[in-house]
Amino acid sequence: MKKIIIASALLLLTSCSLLNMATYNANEHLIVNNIRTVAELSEDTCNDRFKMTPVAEKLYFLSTELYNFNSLVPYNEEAINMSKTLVDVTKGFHQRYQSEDNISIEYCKIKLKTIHDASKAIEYVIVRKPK
Amino acid sequence: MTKQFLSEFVSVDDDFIKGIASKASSYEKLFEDGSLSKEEYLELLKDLQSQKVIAIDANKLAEKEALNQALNGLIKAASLI
Repeated sequence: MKKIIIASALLLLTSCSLLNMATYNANEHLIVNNIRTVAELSEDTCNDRFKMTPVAEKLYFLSTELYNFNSLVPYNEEAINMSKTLVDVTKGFHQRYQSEDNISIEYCKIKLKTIHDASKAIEYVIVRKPK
Repeated sequence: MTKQFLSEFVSVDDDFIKGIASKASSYEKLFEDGSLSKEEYLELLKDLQSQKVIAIDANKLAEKEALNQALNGLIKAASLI
């Protein structure tokens, strides 16, 4: 009887995360994937400032959405830090398109690549969170 | 001076450090040939710091996930005894 109780308790535990860490969330995954996809598909828009302005705004919006989503989830420090850092990166991009007249194509391309790579690194770890 | 400093990092074994140093070096070239403004160049260098922060946190999270998976495996194995 004792063995059955221990075995049942252990089996119950396997369905939970043992360490204090946030579990996989499909909404978090979707937001970070949106950021990566927008950055990936926008490189050709770098030579058109008027088309790139709303793209930069969208990337900033999505990153802020990701941060806000993560910030209230318990045991989620790393994801909060990563999304906050992504907000800083996209904020600079957005602000430049709001305030500067001359923005170089090289800056735009590098910035999009940076946002793409950063969101991919975040996505890589969030899809591996315990389910 | 900066070029020499960066070239030392480009030749180290760690792929991540090498990648960051290589990017810094290419940004410097773009700034020198006028393809990037000073403000753009500074912002891109700061982004390299951000990439480092993301990489460190991603590694921490990956380690936690691996440990969690290992513990779950041990529990599963123990429950079958």
